Amino acid sequence: MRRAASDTGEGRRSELATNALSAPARADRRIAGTAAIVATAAIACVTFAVKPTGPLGWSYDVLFLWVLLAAAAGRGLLGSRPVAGKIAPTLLRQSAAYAVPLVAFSAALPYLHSLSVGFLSDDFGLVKAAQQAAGPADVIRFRPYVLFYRPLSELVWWAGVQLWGGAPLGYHVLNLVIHILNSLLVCALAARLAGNRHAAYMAGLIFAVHPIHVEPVVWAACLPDLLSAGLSLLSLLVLESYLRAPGRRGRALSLSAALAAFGLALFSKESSAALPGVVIFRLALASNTVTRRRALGVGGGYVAVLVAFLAWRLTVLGEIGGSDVPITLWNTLFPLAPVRSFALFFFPINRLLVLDTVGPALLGAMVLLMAAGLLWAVRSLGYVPSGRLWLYLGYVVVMSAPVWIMASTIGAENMEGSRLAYLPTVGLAWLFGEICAGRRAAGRSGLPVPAAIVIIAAALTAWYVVPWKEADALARDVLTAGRRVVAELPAGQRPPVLYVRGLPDGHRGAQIFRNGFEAALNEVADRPVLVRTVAPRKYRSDIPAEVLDLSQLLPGEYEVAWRDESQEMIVLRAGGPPTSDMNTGDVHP
Amino acid sequence: MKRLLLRALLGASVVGTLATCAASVAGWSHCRAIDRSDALVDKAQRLGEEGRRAEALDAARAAAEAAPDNPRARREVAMHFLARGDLKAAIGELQAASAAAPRDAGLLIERAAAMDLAGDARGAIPLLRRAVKIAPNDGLAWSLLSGSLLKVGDLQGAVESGESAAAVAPGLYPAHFNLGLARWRAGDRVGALPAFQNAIRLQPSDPSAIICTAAVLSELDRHGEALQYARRAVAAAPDSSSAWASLGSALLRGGDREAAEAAFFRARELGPRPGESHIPPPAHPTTEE
Repeated sequence: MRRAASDTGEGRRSELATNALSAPARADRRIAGTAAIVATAAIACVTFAVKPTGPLGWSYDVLFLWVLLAAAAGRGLLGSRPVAGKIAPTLLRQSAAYAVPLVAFSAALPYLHSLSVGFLSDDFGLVKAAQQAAGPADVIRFRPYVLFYRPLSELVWWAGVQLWGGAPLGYHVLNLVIHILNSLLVCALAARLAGNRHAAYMAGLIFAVHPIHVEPVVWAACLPDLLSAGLSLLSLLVLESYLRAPGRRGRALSLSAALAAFGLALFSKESSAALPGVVIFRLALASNTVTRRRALGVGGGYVAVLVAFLAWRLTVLGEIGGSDVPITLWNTLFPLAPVRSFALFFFPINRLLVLDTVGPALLGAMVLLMAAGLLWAVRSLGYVPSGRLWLYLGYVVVMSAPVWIMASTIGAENMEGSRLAYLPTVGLAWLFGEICAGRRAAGRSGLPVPAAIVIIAAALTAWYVVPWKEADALARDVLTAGRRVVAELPAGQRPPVLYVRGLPDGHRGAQIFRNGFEAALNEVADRPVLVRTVAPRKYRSDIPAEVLDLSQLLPGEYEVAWRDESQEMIVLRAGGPPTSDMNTGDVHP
Repeated sequence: MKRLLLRALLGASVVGTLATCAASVAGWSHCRAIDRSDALVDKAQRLGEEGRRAEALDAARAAAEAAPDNPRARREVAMHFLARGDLKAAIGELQAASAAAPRDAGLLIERAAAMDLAGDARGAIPLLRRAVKIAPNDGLAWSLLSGSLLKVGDLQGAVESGESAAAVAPGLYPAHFNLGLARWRAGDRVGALPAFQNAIRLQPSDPSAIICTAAVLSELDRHGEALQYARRAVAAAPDSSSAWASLGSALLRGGDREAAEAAFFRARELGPRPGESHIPPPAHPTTEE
């Protein structure tokens, strides 16, 4: 009882005090309310009618920017309303006894039926690389066929091969366990930042069940995203301990641990590189002068770790590396990555799945419901204290920086690429938690609305796992057909070369064979085979279809095609029986 | 003051929202125009397949008028101009198509090929360089780049591009043929042979690579093999002036002057066939003799 009173009592008193508003303040409320309704209604219309990855996708992005601007201006105009009070750290620790099982159970439940999904796309190549590694030391050095340089993640893949033979189930369980731990870290950090257990519960819960996280949790190859997010959050949590540690020795230990966690996060996936920005932002926004003074020193430590990582990367790779996504003016100058993170967080709609399975009526209903949720959040921003509001929003923007130019690949249409928003949306989960706590403190819809949001999000998550299961079934069919084709090819000295057309590349956002078909086919076939994917020029492939059409097949080469309608793989052309290599230069007229 | 500013910001966001919605609606009607244009392109292609070329061109033009920035429509018109041999008009249409879809490697390649055909190899090179940057696995783009570089005398660049072409599209005849030509012109006769060999294996009935092989072998003083290849070229294309000239050259180097004269006489009699102008290369010994 006493705890509840300390959580909400102050808020209720302040709520009563705001009942008598002056005329200009009432006008401000009307203006802000109208702006929020207009912007949200526009977003709802465009979300329903426009494909975010289509030619009118820009309007979707720009409208979200207007919503954010309206929200920020409205918040500035109306100021903060009574906010949830902080409670003692001991009480927070006691609350963990309830929070841990609640959040862990919620994070696991929607994904339990995803554990049967096999390997897809990059997974095959990654497990093959782990199998080929001579030992733990071998994965630290760069091997070009691994695609990326993420040694810690590779080490985990290698350990998976040693411990459970590289079976998919082990990696899926591992991903889920890391997601559960990440949800708990989000919860613990919310507790530290907001000092309120209700905010912590709700932040942890929404992060645990949010449908935006289906791709990173269900796709085994997203282990680096989960691992680097977890280590980044751990680093931030230890940093909070550092800020509260009483002695110099304790502070030094905490800071070292925070920096070590950051270093490991970088070695898991390079997208944690923005963390120093968040740390400096967090310390600079602190109300405590001593904490603000530490911003430079602590931030410098983080920057030093980042510089050391980049130097190491330069040594090992010969370059710092980066994205091969084409850089356009739009996704460079427009804040596309944070905007897409916001958009996906508030409108997590897998359009392809919804339209294919139910139809536009459900899509409309979902859009309306989510727009109502957005309006609810925008109108509740007053319950979040200014410092923390900017911290949460700033976190989203800063953590989106490493994927800034790749934001166009975060397609909201089918949720593809949503893994890139895994870490940035932590800030929005904290914001959600704080809004829920603030409203509860003010005595306004304390539980029903947030609980409904969490339940709907969990249901959507469980539904969005279905395409991944279907993709898995399709991948198995394609591989079975591929194995049959390979078995019938005549034997030769060299492995046969297969030019494969019509390979299913994605299934409602689920990745199938973008990179891993060769490794997958070699895994199931009884003999080695080389695969060249074929697709029209506008799609990514090993050889454009237009060029293959003009090409002759050499001995030992075959052009095959996957026929979706008949679920079979057929040989279209053959280059004759395998012979000796070309390019010998021998002249035998 | 702060209140006024924030109210203005709120107003701006509402105005911006409405303006974005209006632009979105305008964009939507533009998308409808593109859809209409695409339907006309489909019709043009159907008519083209039926052999009704004039009607097909009208349909393609109507498609381009319905949506001037529809790259499909502009490309379709360009293909009709190319078929009629109007290279200048085709290049103009392909340029307009490329402006609407600047990252479409296919359009860049087609425009570069038309420019090269029109004699502007120097203008084609930057387009092809962009195309291979966008689509590094496109063997045709690399091969065309190699050919254009060869024409402007950048032999090292031609060899490198030819090697890339042969690596990414090992079954593409022009990739190996252009690589052979580039190596030969760069002085690497031994390196040119396997490239021509690969080209011959891909298209045994095409005399170009056989003629070049014979010429390279002659330069390497392997006259016996050169003569065999020259005979094979004549067998593969008995109406080819170049094939007979190649045979005459091989016979001459082998010491059979009488037979050589007869072969040269036959070559002169036939004259160059359309499409043979690019082989053998200008510095080819057979043409000099």
